[in-house]
Amino acid sequence: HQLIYMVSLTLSHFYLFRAEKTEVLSEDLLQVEKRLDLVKQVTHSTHKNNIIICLYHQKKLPLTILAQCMLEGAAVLGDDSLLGKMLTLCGETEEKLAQELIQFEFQIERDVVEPLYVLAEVDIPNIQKQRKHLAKLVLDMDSARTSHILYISESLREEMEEAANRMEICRDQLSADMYNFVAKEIDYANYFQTLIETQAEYHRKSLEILHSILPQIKAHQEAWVEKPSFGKSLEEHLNISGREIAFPIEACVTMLLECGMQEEGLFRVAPSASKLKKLKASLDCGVLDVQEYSSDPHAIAGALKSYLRELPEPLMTTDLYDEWIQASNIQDMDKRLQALMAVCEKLPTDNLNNFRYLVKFLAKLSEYQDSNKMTPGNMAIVLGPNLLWTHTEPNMTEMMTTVSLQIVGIIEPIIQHADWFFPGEIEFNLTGSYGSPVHTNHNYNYSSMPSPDMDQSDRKQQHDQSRRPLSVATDNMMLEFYKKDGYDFNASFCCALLFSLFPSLHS
Amino acid sequence: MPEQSNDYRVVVFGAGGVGKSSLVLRFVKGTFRDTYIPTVEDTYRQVISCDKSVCTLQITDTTGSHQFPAMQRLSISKGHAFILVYSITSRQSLEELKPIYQQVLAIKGSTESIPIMLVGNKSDEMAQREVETKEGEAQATAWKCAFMETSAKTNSNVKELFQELLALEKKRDMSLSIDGKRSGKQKRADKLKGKCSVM
Repeated sequence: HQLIYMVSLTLSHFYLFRAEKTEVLSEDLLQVEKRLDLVKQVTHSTHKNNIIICLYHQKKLPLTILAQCMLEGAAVLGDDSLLGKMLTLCGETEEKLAQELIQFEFQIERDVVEPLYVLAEVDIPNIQKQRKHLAKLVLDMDSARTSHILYISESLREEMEEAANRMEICRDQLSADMYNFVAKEIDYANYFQTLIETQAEYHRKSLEILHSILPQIKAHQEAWVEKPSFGKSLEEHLNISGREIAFPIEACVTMLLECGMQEEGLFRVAPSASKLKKLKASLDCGVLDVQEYSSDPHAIAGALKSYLRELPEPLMTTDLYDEWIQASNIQDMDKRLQALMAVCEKLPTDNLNNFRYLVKFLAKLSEYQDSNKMTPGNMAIVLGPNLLWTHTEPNMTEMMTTVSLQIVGIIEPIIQHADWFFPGEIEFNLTGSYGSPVHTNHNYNYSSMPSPDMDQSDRKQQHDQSRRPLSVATDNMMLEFYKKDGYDFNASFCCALLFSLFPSLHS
Repeated sequence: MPEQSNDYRVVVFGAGGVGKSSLVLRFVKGTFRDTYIPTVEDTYRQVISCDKSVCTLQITDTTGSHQFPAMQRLSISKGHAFILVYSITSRQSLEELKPIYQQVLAIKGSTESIPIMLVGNKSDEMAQREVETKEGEAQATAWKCAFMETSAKTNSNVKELFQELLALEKKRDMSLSIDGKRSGKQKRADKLKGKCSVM
């Protein structure tokens, strides 16, 4: 830099000195000359900076190091864990980004830095050297001319002409070079355009890599079944897991169907606190040791109660709280049932599906009331407050006993008349294998089940005959419900058939 | 602290199905029902003698199957004395009492002057016993409270339970013997009458 500076300084002094002297270069070329120096400075510094960057990066890209760390971490954690999968994916991505960066830097070096180097360190200095030479020649010519004016002689005149000649040749050469430089300015400018383009391309590619990896990462997250469900809103849990019935509800109900139906005081008797905590945590992970809990139905019932209780909103919804309570105050049982049905139909689909599932289960549980002593009334007392509640203010606590009794007046008749509220049988094991295969089908006596290949209208007719009319919306929903059941039924029926034919398959 | 009213409130806590209602009903009505109905919440009243006068013994039979923390707190803050019931046939039911005791301790600040009775019910079901008498006693010692094993079914120790609980109350002089006193007075009156009639 210093050198260039001095050169340019000398040059400008030279211009001043020469100002009164003969001007051999045209005005535009003088302008070009000024620019030469600037361009040289600019390109030189660009080049130099790049060399520093390149040297620095020759060690190892930070991205590559990051990628390696991630991949090593993934190897430690293993591909069967979500975190391991994520680390692999991210590590690979970072590696790709590093590759892009290397590619980018290489391209910049080749297409921008090198040409700029040539321009700054070779082309321009050449021109400047020539310019100096020309200056010298001009000086020679001027002194020859002065001498000629002072002492008019033939030899001096020849000398002067020769000097002028030499100067002219040099000037023409220099002019040609300078015009060339000017003409090539578009090419020089192009280097910078290339720089930006390459950079844009690099960023585009990097972004593409990131965009392409994001869906995969999200898919991994979503495909991961071990998602907490306790304390999550029902809708969120169902959306994330792609389920129709909340996992804790289905898991607990299916297990209870297998090992808890005869248990005295199911849902009433308290489970072991540590067992309950463990079961809740394992349900949150989507893992279940059926064997361990088959001897402890109270823990399962407790977990189900906890799940319902910990929902941010009661299963029977806060919005409908007042309507439920109003319906419970109707003394005439027929009218109360109608009113309860009307509220029931207003439940959002997710809540209705899960509520129906639960009520159908409780109705089934009440069939065993001789041994489990849980009548619909008893169930309503112990479970009601887990299904419907309101956010009471502290001074309202004294009313809670009354409210509890009102809730009993809602739940008890619904369980008692479960088949009227929710006609048809229900498949409890919809998605999982929470028990031995033989128990997955609780509905062998499905003879009146509409088959899935049945025409929609046929099916609708059959339903219309078999139960009291519901609203159209509920009708359609019920159709969906039956359709689903039908498929499940066929599958589980085949399964049951298989197992009855080959008992050895049980193990 | 609950106000010093004419009512003396006893709150019965315990896990679901340990026999809280059975104990209270045996004491209040002298009966035992073999039905199986969970309690939402029931309150029974009985007149007892207190500081040479009478007051109402109010027994609150709470629900064991689901906890409303708010409701439980309310019962504790209003209660003067507590009966913590477990079933000797269920170790878990004794475990369930621990958070309730902690809650009482937290709300009352100290359990020193508060009558608390730890009760192991269903003492008739010896075959299904899971909690030894010694274990119940040890827990009571740890909690610095009284202990008793009862059977609502066979009416064993039920009246004694309430008698002893009232005896633990040092601020008032209470006893269940109001009926006895009254009948005593009645007898004297009868005697006088008799004398009168003789006269």
